[in-house]
Amino acid sequence: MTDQREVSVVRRPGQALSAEDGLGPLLAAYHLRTEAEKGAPVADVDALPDRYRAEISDPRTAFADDVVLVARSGGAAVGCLVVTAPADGRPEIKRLWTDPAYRGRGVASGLLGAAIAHAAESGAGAVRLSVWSWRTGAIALYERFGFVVTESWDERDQLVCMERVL
Amino acid sequence: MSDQRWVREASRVTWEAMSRSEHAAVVRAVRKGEPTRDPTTALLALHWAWAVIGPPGARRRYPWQAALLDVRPTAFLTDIYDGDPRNDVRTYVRRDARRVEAANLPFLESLDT
Repeated sequence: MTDQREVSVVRRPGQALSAEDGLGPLLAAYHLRTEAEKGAPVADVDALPDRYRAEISDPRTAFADDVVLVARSGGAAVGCLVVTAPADGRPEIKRLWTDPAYRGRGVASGLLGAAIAHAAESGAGAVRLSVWSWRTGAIALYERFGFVVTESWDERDQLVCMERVL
Repeated sequence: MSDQRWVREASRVTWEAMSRSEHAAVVRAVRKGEPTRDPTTALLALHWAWAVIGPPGARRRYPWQAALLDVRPTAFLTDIYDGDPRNDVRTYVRRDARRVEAANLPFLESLDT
């Protein structure tokens, strides 16, 4: 049965991350799913590109300059999102992931709302993100929060770049 | 020509290129409380709905006189879900647009988030 306990969002500066945050398994699931969707599925974390394995094995170092939001239900981490340190005054949102067992319960909405609030508090003029074009659900969520498709800053095909003015 | 009501110009072009029966299929589903199961079409329909009623946080207001246009007989002869602003003022088009949002947005968000 699905856990119906309330989901809360915990904000962690990258350097304050610990193994207890439960971020590793969420990032692993995110990257494995993404590689599969890109048409290059891998069997396990060991087969992921180095930069992704580094995030999973040592998120504290990988996101040292960033803010990591973790959604928790009871004692378990059920979702995550990373807000990068601003570049050109605009932080970037990435690694939005919800444990499939907790989807449709507002986990990502909570994370995204907290990320936008954090970006606004930090004085950023806008926040941006990129999302694979086939992730229509995530795109709908971003658009519901006011993100609009903008000129791409990433040359990878099928990557949709979005921005929200704060 | 670009239409500022749409969150994406590409969606407007694609929606307008769809047939009357494709539009009708979207509306038939949401009238039963069901989303469009194809995610790409569901997102496209959501964009149409937001063009009609405005996206969350920026809802569109229509003058009350707009309701009078509902009686135009052409409603039975043309595709009133084609995204033409002259059709979007109809109260039942707006009602169906709200149904599209109510059915498709939670469905889409549950796929990835």
